Parts: sequence; structure tokens; C-alpha cells
Amino acid sequence: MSLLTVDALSVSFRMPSGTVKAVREVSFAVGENEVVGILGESGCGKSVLLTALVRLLPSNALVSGKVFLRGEELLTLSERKMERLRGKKVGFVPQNPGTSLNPLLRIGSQITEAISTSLRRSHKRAQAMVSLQQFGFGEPWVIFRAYPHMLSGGMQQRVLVVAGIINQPRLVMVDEPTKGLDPSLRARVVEVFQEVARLPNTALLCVSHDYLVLQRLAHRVMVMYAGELVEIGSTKEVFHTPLHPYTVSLLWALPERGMRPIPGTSPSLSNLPSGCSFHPRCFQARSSCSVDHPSLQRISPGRWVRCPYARF
Amino acid sequence: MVLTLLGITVVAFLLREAIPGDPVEILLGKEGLFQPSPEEVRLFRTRFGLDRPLFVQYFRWLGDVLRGDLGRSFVTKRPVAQEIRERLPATLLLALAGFSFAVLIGLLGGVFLAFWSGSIVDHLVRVVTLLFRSMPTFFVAVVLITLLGERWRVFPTSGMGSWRHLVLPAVVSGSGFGILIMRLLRTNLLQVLGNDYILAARARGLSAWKVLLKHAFPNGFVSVLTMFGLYLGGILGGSPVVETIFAWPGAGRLLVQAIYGRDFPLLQAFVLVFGVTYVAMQMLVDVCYFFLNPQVRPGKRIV
Amino acid sequence: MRKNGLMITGLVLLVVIGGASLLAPFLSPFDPLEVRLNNRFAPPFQRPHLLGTDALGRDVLSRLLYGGRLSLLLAVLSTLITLSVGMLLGMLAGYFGGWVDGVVSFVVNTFLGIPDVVFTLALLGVLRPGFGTLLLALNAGSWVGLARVARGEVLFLRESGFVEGARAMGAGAWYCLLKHILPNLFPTMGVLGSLRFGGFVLELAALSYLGIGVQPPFPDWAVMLNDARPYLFTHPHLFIFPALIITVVILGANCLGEGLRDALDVRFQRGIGES
Repeated sequence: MSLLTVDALSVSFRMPSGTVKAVREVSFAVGENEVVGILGESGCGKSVLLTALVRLLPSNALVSGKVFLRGEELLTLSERKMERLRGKKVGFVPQNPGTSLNPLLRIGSQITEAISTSLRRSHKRAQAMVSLQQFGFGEPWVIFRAYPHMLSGGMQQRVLVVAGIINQPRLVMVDEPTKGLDPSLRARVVEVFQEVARLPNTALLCVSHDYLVLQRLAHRVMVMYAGELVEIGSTKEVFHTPLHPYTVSLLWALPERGMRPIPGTSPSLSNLPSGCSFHPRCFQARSSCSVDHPSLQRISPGRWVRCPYARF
Repeated sequence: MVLTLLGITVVAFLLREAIPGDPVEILLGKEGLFQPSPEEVRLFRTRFGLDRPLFVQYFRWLGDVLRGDLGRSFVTKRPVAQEIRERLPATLLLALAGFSFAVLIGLLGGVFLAFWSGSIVDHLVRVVTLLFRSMPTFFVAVVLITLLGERWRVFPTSGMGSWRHLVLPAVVSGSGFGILIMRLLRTNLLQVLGNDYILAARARGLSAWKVLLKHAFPNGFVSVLTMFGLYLGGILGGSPVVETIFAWPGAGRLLVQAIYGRDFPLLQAFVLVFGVTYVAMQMLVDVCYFFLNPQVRPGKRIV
Repeated sequence: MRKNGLMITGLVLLVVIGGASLLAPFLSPFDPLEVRLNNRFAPPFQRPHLLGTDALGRDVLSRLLYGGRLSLLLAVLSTLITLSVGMLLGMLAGYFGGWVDGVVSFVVNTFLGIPDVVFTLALLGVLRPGFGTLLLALNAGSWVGLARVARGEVLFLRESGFVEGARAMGAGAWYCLLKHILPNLFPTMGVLGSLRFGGFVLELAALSYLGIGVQPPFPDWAVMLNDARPYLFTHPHLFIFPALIITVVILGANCLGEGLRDALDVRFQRGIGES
């Protein structure tokens, strides 16, 4: 049994302008100690997916499907039981480190509040300091007493990581680790999360638009487009031999591979194209692509593509 | 800040220029009882230095004020400073009580409304508060006096004695601003709740209430705090009406009586005293804000 | 600007009451000042005095109809004066900056330091009672808040694209002010003006209730309230009707102001706050 199993998860939002389908029938699994990456552009629904897994979506969200954490169904749990999971069994490192820390409270307070055991304050403080040191802070007591605005973006992120893993959760969800940070910090960011992945019994589910990060961090990669998973495979498979036209186009768009932009724009999630969601921008679209909505096909164990004309 | 204080003194001083007719004549003639002769008027002027240029008079007056001499009341002939000093504590007590009441219902109500936002309760409260805010203070006061004071005899309705005397006036004085605080806090809390750090805190496992109290409230409260100076001033400004209705022996009531009696020195002193007090309170609020918001304080950047 | 229920409610209320006050000479069944000692304390909801009569036998309905004329006139005039003076000074300070701003800001800060009401009361105590005095007293301190807001808005607008564009084309300062900046002030001023109007009615009512505003025997609403005080238990209608009318007027002004503010929500994010 895998650590996390997601079964046909769908998330829609009720907006005054209509219903927006952010996540459509997504299914996947994450094994113990595995690092799984979800790759996709902004607005493809990947952050919504993560937030849905910890059940912190806004009130106008409609969720269906099933999510199993080691056999326990998450979506029907009571809120109190869910609170006991968050931060303890399931860790979360949010995006935008600059705004994910409360500016009025000291860093230390925001770390120790996450510690779940009923220890004395001094013990919690010590535990926080140890963790801070582990993640590269040479003088953790200074950080402990500091306020968020005194730290650089990279440091803020590491603080959030510490707060997220302090209870040694089995599964850590990471939302856009390089967003909001200077691109030159990318290598550093990867190091930090590799450190997290090395923690015993810790699986990572990392969502990003940054292909380079996922390439170096993840064992398996899932590509997401317009709320759906369109390609699944090992990191090597997906990046060296991409099958779905979207993945191919994504890689062509990278500077080191030619920087050819994908024509058109991402579809509006309230007004999706008919048939295959990618067909208006696809370089090998046929007439049937605008009619039939393709399903995820299994090519080989662990290798899936949502395109009947994917090249083999 | 000092400039403002100076400005207030100038305004208070110039108030005298607004008096119709020659104030000296009025003073000497005991308000029309008899007509002083030009000679008496001239003597009076010279004696009190009223024939000097305005500039000089201003500084002499300022000197007097700083030494604590605010003149004598026309009506009671006692020193104005003494009259005000006797009554100011009562006014401050009432203002404090009213303000405490306002803060209490404002904070509780604001948190409550933010939690239940969007529900029927929220909309109902919004309508009710709009209605309430449109009722004149004295209307509310009379209603409360009638119901709680006379019909059901729960609280006394006039004078100052036990703590029970304080209740009704404080409620009337503070309720308007309490509602403003409530609405402002609610709006701010809702806005704060949309911030990233709220999501981050929830993801760390904190319960909804804990997040509301520990993370949302301080941030929402800070912007409400900046309005406190204004509200305190408003409560002070409402004191004349409230004190008169409840026969509360404070400075506000004295002000109204000064108007009836056209007691100029008293009026001038009031402008000064209320103005200075108000500015002092705003400075106090600024200081509090400085302490509460770490981003305003100097703090070194950690590398 | 999307019209909403709140705004329309406010507008309707104000127009109805304003219209009734204006047309009082035509609508009023009796002379509001006519004393009829043989018909005192007539109960309401009976003909011919639909709302009853007061302690001197005067018809309540007629007095209500006439009662608003002075207060509403004063409030409207005050609002116009306050808006004009506030906008003008705010524009001058914000647009020209320099010593003009320095002087205006100094005056504004000074008056902001004195609670509005206190200054009004002081002036009332000093000057001779009368219409002009009331007008002056009400306005003396209230233009200040508006001036500060207007100045802030002008500072913001001055840096915006179309003003710079106009100046680049050689437009003079006054032209810019009148054609570009002024129209953009109207929405904010509209909201604040409506709310201030309600505030003036409230202030005036409080003053008249205390006996230092509108004087009897003029049938002003607040004066009626004052007269009705001794008879609060025996004849509550004498107190309730004027109080309700005043509340409705202020409610109308508040609804209008709040409705306008909701419609312009985005612009208020810049932190003008409640006043």
C-alpha cells in the first residue's frame, strides 16, 4: 500500500462568473520515501491540488473523489482529525515565502507553534534550534528571535521548511519552491529539499513550474495541463523521452533546448476547449482531437500518456 | 506635533477676535447693564495691555497660560483653570469608560462577525448597526434612560456616585464608536484571513480559532489601533451632549453651561484644553503603534 | 458605477423627506405655529390631526413637515460649503505643494487637533445667535477632514498618466486642475459629502436639543423633541415622531454614503477609512 493514493480527485470553484474546474479527475500514488514532482505552468491547477490534499481550500470549493493516506480516507475526515494530521503526519511548505510568514510574530514562535507534542516551552525551543541548525542556520538563536522581514527570501523559505518538517511527517508537500525567489538561488533551493528528501521515512510531493528543480529532485514526474495529468513517468523517462505533445513543447520552450514558445495561451478553466484540452496549441493535432477527450493510457508499468497519437 | 500645539493656541487666542462688539465694553458694562464711559474703557485697555499689537498680546497670553493662568470665569468669577481642573477628571473617567466599552464590544463583535461572516447573523447585524448609527445620541440616551432607568429601574440616570451611575452614560458615549470599531475590525480581519501566512499557519496544524486569535487578530488589530486616536477624540467631543443629558458633573457639561452664560474665558480655555488633550492622546496612540509593529522599529537585516 | 439597493434606498428617503419639507406650505393641513389651547394633547391617528397635537395644541404633522426646513437647509448649505472649501484647499495644497501645501497643512493639522464639536460649541458661545452663526459654527472645523482627503487624492492623481500627458502638451496648472483632477475627486467627495450631510443633521439636532441651535418657537424637529421631554411617558408620540424623522433622514444619508462607497469599493482600498 502506498503512502498516498489519490483517486479521481476533482476540484471546482463556484465563482460569480461561473464554475471553474481547477482539477479534473486526477489519480496518482506516492510511495514511502519517494519524491514525486508535478510539473505544469501557472494556472494549471497544481497548487490547488496540493491545497485540496490538506483540505485548506476556500469555502466556495467543490471537491469530489477520494484521497487515502496509508489507508485512511482524508476527504471525509472530521476537521478536528484533519488538524491532527496537518503539520504532523503531513507537512506543507507553502509558496511565496515572503508572505507566508506572519510579519508581526517572531520566527521562533511560528516554528514552535507547529510542534505537536506537549513539551515544555524550553524543550520546544531547543527542538526548533536544532532543526534550524540542520538547515544551514549557523546562529539559530538569532533567527529564533528575529522577525520575518529581517530575513532574505531564501532564509524565509528555509524557516518554512523547518516549520513544515519539525514533526517528522511522512509526507511533505512542497508548493512551488522556486516561485518568489531569485532564480540564482535555484541550486540552493534544490539542496535544501534534497536535504528534506534525505530525512528518514520522508516522501515528497513537489509541485513546480520549474523543470530544472524537478529534474534534480524527483524520482517520478507527472505533467499537468488544464487541471489534468497528461503524462506520468520516471524523471528520466519524461525529460529524455517525452511522449505527450505538451511535454515536448514545454521542453522545446526551454532556453537550453531552443526556446521555442508554445503557441497560444493556457485555456481558461471556466471555458475549456472541447475534446483534448491541449488540441488548440498542439503541433500534431488531428481533427478527432477536438471531439474526443482522451483518457490516460498505460504504455508500460508506471508510464502513462493522455494522447492517442503520442510518439513511441 | 509641536507646531500643531502652537497652532491650537493661536486658534484659541484668536477666538477672542470673533466676539461681536468690543469685548472690553461688554466686560465693563456687565453685558449691557450699563454703558461704560470712553475714559473707563481706555483705562481698562491700558491696564490690561489691550492696546498693544496683537502679537505682543498673544505672547503675554501664552505666558499666562503656560503658568497655569487661564483667566477668570465671567459667571462664577473663579479662576478658569480651577473650574476645569475640578471637572476634568469626571470627563476623563467617563471618556475612558465609554472608550473601554467601545473597545470591548468592538473587539468582541469584530472577531465574532469575522468568524460568522457571510451568514444571516452577519447581514442582520449590519442592518441593525446602520440603523443604530443613524439615531441621534440623545435619542438613544432617552430610550435607554426610559427603559433601563425609569421603567425597570436598573441603573440610575443622573449624577455621579457609584459605579452604577457610570454605566448608562458610558454605554451611550461609547456605543457609536464601538460599532465603528466592530465594522473596521471585521473588515480588516477578513482581509487578513486571505493572506498567505494564514494558510501557512493552518497547514502547520493550527486550529481555526487559534489562527484567528494568534495570527489574524494582531494583524487586523494594528490598523484598527491607528483609528483609536480619532475615536477617543470623538468620544471627548461627544461629552458635552452626554454629560448634559445625564447630569454628569464633567467638563463637557461645563462647556454647555458656558455657552448659555456666554462665559468667554471658559470657552477659550476649553478650546485649548480639549485640543491639547486630543493631540496628547494621538501621540499616545502613535507610541503604542510604534511598539506593536515590529516593521516600524529599526532592526538589522540578517545575512 | 453599478447602482445598488443601498444607494437607491438612501436617495429615495432623502428625496421624499426633502421634497415634503420643500412642499410643506402646500402639504401642511394646519399652521404649525397656531396655538389652540382647547385642543391640547390630541391623540394620533385620528382626524383631523393625523399625528395628534402637542402641549400647546399645535398640529404635529404640520410641525413635522415644516420642522425640517431650517435644519435641512442648514445641513445642505453646510455640506456644500464644507465640500467646496475642503476640495479647494485640498486641491491647492496637493497640486502646488511647496509653501502653499505647508500653510494649508499647518492649518489643517491645527484644526484636526481640536475636536470638531468643541470648536463649534465655542463659536456658538461667542457669537450672536442666528442663522449665520450656526452656519459658521458648523463649518468651522468640518472642512478640515475633507481637505486632507482631497489633498491625498490630488497628490495621487497628480502623478498619474493623463495629468502628465496634459502638461506635456502644454496645459497650464489651472486647466489641469479643473478638467482632469476635479472630476476625479467627485466620487470620493460624493461619499464623504453624503456622510457629512448626515453628520450635520445629527450635530444640528443635538445642538437644538440642548437649546443652542435652532431656537423655539420655530418648529424644528429637535426643538420638538426638547418640548416633548416632560411628556415622554404620558404622550410618547410627541417624542417618537420627531425622533423617527431625524433618524430616517440620517439613515438616508448614511445609506446613500455607504451605497456610494460600496460602488466605489476599489478606490477605497487606499485607506481613507471611516470618518
